[in-house]
Amino acid sequence: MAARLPSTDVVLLGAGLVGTILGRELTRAGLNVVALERGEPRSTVPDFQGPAMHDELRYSVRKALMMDTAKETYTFRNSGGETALPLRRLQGFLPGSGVGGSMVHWNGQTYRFHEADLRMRTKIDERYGKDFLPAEYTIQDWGVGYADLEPHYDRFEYLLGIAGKAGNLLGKKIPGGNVLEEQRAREYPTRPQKEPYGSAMFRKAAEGLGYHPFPQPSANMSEPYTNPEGLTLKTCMFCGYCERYGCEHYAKSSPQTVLLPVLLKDPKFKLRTHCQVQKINLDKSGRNATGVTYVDAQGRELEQPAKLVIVGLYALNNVRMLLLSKIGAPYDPATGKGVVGKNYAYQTMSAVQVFYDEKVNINPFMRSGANGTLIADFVADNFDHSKLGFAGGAYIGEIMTHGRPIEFHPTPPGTPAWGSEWKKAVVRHYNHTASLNVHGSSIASRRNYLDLDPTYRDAWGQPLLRMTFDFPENDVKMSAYVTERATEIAKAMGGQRVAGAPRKGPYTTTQYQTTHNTGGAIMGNDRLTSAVNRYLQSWDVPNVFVIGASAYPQNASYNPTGTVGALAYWAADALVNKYLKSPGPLVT
Amino acid sequence: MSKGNAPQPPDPARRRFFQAAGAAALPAALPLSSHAQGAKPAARAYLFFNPAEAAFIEAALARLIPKDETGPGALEAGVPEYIDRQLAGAWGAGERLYRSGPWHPGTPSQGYQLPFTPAELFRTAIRKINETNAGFAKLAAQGQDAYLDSLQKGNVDLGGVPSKVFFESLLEASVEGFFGDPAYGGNRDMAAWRMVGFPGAYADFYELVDRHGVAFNAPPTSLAQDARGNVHLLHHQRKT
Amino acid sequence: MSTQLAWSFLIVAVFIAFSAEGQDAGCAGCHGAQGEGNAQLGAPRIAGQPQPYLERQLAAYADGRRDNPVMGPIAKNLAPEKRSQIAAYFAGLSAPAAKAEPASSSPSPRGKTLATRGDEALKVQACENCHGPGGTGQSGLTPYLAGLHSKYLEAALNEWKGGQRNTDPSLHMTLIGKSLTDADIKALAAYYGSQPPPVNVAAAKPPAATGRDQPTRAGAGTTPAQGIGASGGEATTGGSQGPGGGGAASGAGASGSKSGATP
Repeated sequence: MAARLPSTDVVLLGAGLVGTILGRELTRAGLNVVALERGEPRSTVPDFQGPAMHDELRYSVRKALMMDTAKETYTFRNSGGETALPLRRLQGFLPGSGVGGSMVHWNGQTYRFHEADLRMRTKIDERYGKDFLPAEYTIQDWGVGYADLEPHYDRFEYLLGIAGKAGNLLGKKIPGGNVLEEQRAREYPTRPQKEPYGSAMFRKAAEGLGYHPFPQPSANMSEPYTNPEGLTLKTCMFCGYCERYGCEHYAKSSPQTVLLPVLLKDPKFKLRTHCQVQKINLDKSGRNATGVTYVDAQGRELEQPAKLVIVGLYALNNVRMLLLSKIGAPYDPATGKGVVGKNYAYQTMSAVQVFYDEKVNINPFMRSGANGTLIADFVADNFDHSKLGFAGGAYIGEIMTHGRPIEFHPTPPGTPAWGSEWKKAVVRHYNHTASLNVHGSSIASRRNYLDLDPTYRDAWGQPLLRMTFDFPENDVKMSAYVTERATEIAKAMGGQRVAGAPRKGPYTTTQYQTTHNTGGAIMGNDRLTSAVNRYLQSWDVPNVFVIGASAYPQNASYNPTGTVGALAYWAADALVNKYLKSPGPLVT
Repeated sequence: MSKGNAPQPPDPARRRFFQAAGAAALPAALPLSSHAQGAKPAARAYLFFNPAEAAFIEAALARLIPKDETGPGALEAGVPEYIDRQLAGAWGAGERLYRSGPWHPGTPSQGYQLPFTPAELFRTAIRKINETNAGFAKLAAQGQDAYLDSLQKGNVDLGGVPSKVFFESLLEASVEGFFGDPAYGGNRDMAAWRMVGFPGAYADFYELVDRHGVAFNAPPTSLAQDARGNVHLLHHQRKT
Repeated sequence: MSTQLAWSFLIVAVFIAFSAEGQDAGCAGCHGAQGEGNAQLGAPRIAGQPQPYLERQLAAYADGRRDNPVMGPIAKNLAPEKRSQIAAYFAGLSAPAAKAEPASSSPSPRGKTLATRGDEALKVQACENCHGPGGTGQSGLTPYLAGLHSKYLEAALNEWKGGQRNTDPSLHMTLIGKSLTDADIKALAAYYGSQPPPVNVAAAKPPAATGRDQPTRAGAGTTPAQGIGASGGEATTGGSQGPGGGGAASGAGASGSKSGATP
């Protein structure tokens, strides 16, 4: 029987991006907030300091900042006909753990989605007709449009200090920025980071082909920046240890650098670490949450009562929490009914490498996590799909982030995997190879979903989340098309040889692609086809809000974090200005 | 390894070797690890491998990453010691490995599904290899390569470990030991970093990133290096 | 220092600068014959500092980015070419290991903490992230701190703090200087002042006539006389477009394991 703690106004699940923003907004509104984080406390000093932080084996290979898969993991299968098996090691995607969550060890690539992403169903039907896509693809509108989110994207970008260049300021197109973006109210808070060599060569090649390259918007500072919370970040030094690492220079936007020092000073905010939430507790009606049950560091089971529950875990864990708590009807792939677990999506990635003459020093180790140059000409619906037979798209860019040699030692196709020839090729090509990324959307399919595994459990005895996913044919076609475009650009970059391949199925968890897992607790305007409403409030239990990429009905071409931030502020705004004034369903 | 100012040969690959050799030959300000400079390494001290296992590992690694004109290979770089320490430590014992059953072979997309920890996997596989191919270490290089190839491509059962899985594990561990920080026992004298031109653990390139194509030749640094350039091996594996 | 003393030094400095002695003799008056510095004069040890770093300081003294009444006029009277030569000369020197200053009678751990760990409340990262292992310098651009006179270090940190020095384009040193308290500055200066200075390995060899024949790689923590570690210049793209043809690349970028089915 769990010991009952004194009640609080809000219990926050997770102390990452979402937990930190919601914690700040709700304490500012006068509420008492308890945040429960499964991992350990982390701060820039001492935890992210060099030289110990610059340890590729420990952080990239052994994944020291990531969740501990000895205790909990996910099970996976490509299709419903297989038996799902546990991911005994994390390789394909790397959810974090610890205060700050995945935003500690992300790359900082920060974008806004398009109206065509947020209203994908409507826009596809309008432009290409209702029969353009097979019924298998369960794309949906989000229930919000770009105009709803614009001020919140702005607020998130200014919280982080994003380094970039606007391409569309209130309708005015500005060359050098992303002229294809949705319009912005204001310029980015800081100027773009310096452009590395490979990215510059990409830019010239892309311009030559008539595309519109622009600098990658970066959460790694181009200059010192003091955000609206009064916290100062410092200049990124291009150390090449970004993704999978914490930043020693206070130069990467993370909860630690943009918000926590202020939040932690607020006596209304209580942060408890090493606390594994087991479930959200409901009253007898099943329509009201009374708080959560969690297990603390010593293994004691505790109940934290609260009036409001904010679920801000890593996206996959948000979905699992709803399933474990029996909130919302679980999705049934056979009937297509139910909502929790449906529309799981990912990211469709491919790459093209350019091999250069030995005299060309690419210096891949002089990089930040988001200092590339890219084009949006094949993003979302920025190009005519009518004769192409697929929806969605990808950005193409030279967005290399590091030269760490265990992970990065490119060799041209045909090189053996070991031996003297391999070694010679590694030495020859290490510093003379540029890599283009094709970063593509992930459509929703009724065959891709999340549910609870019937067999495997975590260290606390709870069922693991089961992932059923493979690349839909739509995305395979999209990847083939955009990778061809990328190859054309690569060939114009002045190298000696170009080698790339589009993404093909089956999806494998053994190769890292991105940590962009989306869907499963999707937002929408119809309670029959979504788990949360447009304010990310559970349709079933109005005092539970589920905020994160779990809300995405399908995944877009761009990286998801910018939109997670915007949704966090959008939901916080609804909570403070609507819900707290009148608790209850915000959408009827 | 040559000492002093060797004349620069025209071939770039050979020039890199001489640069690397020149670096390693510098006097005491850059002391090497515990092995005497220029001398054949003393018999390796293993915590995990028994002599028969070590014989196989050393012979195999000498083929996976050979010493050649580009520079030192896995043996010279201390990769056997690296793998040995890893297997003897937390990773070898199954840290961060989800170890609950039931176990099924699974599809390639599902990744590793065997019950073995890395230590158990290596031990089991190498025991079988030594039983069935005890003469591996004595074979000529070609014969060794052919055997390693058969492990990589075939599906020989090594006491319960598919040979493909063992081979991949061995190759991955070799690459880690070759290119990882010398603090872990491999990449001795940062030879692999010098070969490719990777700067190591200290890295501030704000002023160089926009000097496109700049030739960066500063010597690499290890995270475990002190003010005199001595690299201190991490004798206990840090918890990850 | 007092105004009168400053004027005396100024006169001496101007005299030396205009002397007919070689480039090194002029500086040696304050910085020592071997660039070992002079603690009383507040002239820092400059032997073995990276050439680009020394060159930048001279340029900064000349154009005012580093505001110093003694070095300013000296630097202004040196043509850029001369500054480059002076910097190269001192970068190649290996001063005898100076007697490290005795650690103060009640050494506080604060200096070492800041140097190796930083301070979260002040948002100051560890000095050695940039200044290298044991503060022995790094990448050919960042100077060594170990073995510099504590009085000089204190003065230099105060220049950052007060804004008299603006030679860091990343602005880290400006922000760090402004974040440190006076006690922190003293503690850091005492800490690095009590460390032995790094040995300049490349300087142990006799300097080559042109420098071109020197191997460009050098010992840890120090930099060779010629080039930093980074030689500038435009790279050529060279080579014609190869056959290209999309090969069997993994399609997932440069990183990623081969099969991944490993424990």
